[in-house]
Amino acid sequence: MLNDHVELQSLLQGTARGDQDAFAALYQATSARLFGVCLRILRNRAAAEDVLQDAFVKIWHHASEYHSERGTVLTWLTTIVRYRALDYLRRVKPEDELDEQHEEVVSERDGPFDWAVSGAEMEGLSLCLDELNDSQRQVIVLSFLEGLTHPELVKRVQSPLGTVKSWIRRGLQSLRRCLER
Amino acid sequence: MNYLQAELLEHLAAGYVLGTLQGRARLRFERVMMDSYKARQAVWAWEQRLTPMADTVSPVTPPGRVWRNIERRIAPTLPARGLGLPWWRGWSLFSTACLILLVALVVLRPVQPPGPDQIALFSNEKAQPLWLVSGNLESGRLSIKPINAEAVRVDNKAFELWMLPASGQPRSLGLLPVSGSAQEQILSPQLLAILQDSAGLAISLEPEGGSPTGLPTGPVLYQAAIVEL
Repeated sequence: MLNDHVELQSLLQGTARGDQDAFAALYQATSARLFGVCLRILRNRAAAEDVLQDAFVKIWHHASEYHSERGTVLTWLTTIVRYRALDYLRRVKPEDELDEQHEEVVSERDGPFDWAVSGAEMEGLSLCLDELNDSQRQVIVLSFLEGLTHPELVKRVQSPLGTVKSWIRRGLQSLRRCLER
Repeated sequence: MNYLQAELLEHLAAGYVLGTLQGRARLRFERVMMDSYKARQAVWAWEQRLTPMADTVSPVTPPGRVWRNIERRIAPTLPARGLGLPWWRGWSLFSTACLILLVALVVLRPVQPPGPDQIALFSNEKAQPLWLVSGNLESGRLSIKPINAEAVRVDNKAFELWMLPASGQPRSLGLLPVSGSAQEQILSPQLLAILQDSAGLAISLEPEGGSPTGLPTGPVLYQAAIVEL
């Protein structure tokens, strides 16, 4: 994991200096993971391809803005892709447009609580997620990994808005306390 | 509302990262982040807490067209790539379209005496002129005029101009302005000799402040032949 980070850091540094080969290697090393994230949020292949493409063009131009306070290189790249996907998801309305094609990629989706492929970083978070009650964990995971908004969460978990919000709020507070232990 | 109250800031930062903070509230918070280092730090901390969740998503290899599109978008013209030649030998591939445009431009321009001895015109792939470089070998005066260069500006990067001598490595002529009026400089006799030996010029994309090595480090975006008048 640490070696991965060092390797990605040097590729990102090359990218920041305009080295196309370093950028190509960075893409090679991370695009499958990031495309998975796009698909999970957008559930539409064409949209996921667009978002991945935009995100990498952004990474090319802004590579020099990465710094260690933003976490590992992989974390930074993932946040760029996620925010881009969230923006895309919420710009495209009505949501039905995406739901129509839901089936197309649904088979590639993991169960919401399948931590089987956890990496080392995930272990800490996974343990802390396990400490939450089921409702808290479910709403946090659904909003982070599938980009569900408050109203969408209300529909999905069949609970009132106030309840959903307080699950999120308390869940996040517990997560933070747990991760800082 | 005081956004900087610690408790509230935590709540907003977490909602921002999670994605549940949306619409106008999200935009407002993005504005707060621009102003407040504390807010950015809170967001970065939440990104690091929550992003490991993405480890649970199965990787899916994207189709090859995604990379091809990215490549096209970041460097619209890389003519010398893949020819097995050093790129600075590839300048001769310079398109005839550009030459025609160049001639038209020279003919239509009133030439002020003493006219420039040498000129090179950089254009994009649509043959729109970007920079006009003109020089006079006797006086050593070099003038760089941005034409539509603003349109190809890249944030946090600089365009660097290179001479491509027939023998030896590319030699920098400095950074190119992307807007404003022509930039003038007087070349040293040493640089003039290299210019005299050069049949073409090239522009590469470099970090702000220019190439740290003295040789092009970024992609070569544009090339142009030097035409003697």
